[in-house]
Amino acid sequence: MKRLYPAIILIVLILGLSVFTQLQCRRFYQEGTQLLSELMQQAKSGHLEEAAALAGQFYDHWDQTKNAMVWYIRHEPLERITDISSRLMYLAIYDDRAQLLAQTNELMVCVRELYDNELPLLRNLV
Amino acid sequence: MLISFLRTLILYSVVICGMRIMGKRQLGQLQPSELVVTILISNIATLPIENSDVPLILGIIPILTLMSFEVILSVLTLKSVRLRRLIWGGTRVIIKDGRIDQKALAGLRYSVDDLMEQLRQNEIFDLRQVEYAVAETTGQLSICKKALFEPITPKTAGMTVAPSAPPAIIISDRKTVQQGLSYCKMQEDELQKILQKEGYRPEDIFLMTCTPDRDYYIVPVEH
Repeated sequence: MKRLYPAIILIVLILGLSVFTQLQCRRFYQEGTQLLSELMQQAKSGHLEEAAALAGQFYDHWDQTKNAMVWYIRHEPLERITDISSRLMYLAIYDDRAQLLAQTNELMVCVRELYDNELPLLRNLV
Repeated sequence: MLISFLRTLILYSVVICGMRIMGKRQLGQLQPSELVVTILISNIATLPIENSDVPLILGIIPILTLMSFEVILSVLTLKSVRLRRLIWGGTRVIIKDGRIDQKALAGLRYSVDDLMEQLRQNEIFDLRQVEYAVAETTGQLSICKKALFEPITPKTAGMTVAPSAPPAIIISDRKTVQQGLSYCKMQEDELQKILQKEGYRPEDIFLMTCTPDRDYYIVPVEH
């Protein structure tokens, strides 16, 4: 019986931790997607300086979030986001709009997949 | 390389702690659910050790979850007989009044060879010696011999025997074992007196056992 209470506490802690990581992923997904959408809008309308600033902002934001995410998400999808986001600013600075739009779109897909793969959906459970 | 070493060390500690929390039952004969948990834990622990791309917590969380549910399940099965039957199954009598229940044997998928092997492990080589045999939930066979083949005990011989406590280890490899001393209700100075009487010092003793009645046995160190 003395082992029951630590076991229940442990389960509660694990569930709490799971909810916390879910919220962290969701927050990054929402904020990241918003930044990337703005970046796309700026790139489409030819404001590449603003697009470069937004790309830098996204990279800084990702750099902070990544350090927390490496604790509970496999490293491969995280490295993919790091790779792409590190290129965006230079694509904007050196006026490669086509590549910038394509890479931003790819990054949005990566961010969405990162969040979707953490959701307790049936497709992730099977 | 150092990361791999440290991750192995952490997971080893987690698994050891888990086994300790799950208790001694886990280390002895396993019930079906305990066997499943033990196999799963050993497999899960290897994943983050092998692959450093997998965060350590993805190995630790399943281990702690399995461990916690195993503890919760064992408490629930302790309270509910029905759940116990559901999770661990029940015992089956496969030899009754000296007759093999062939249906029960087939139901358990126990071959005659399995039965004979289990009997031999219980030091029975002749089936006719068995009165009852019960297949336990752990898969082990518990056997009750016919009275005719039971060894003679003081009770069957009509003798009265004074109860005696088993001996405990007092000195193990030159070191005094405090647990043994307290079991025998013996003080250090009494131990010294016994050793002096026998002509030994504690550092000369490889093993010393003693009962609470001061019936001791000494094995000296071989030089």
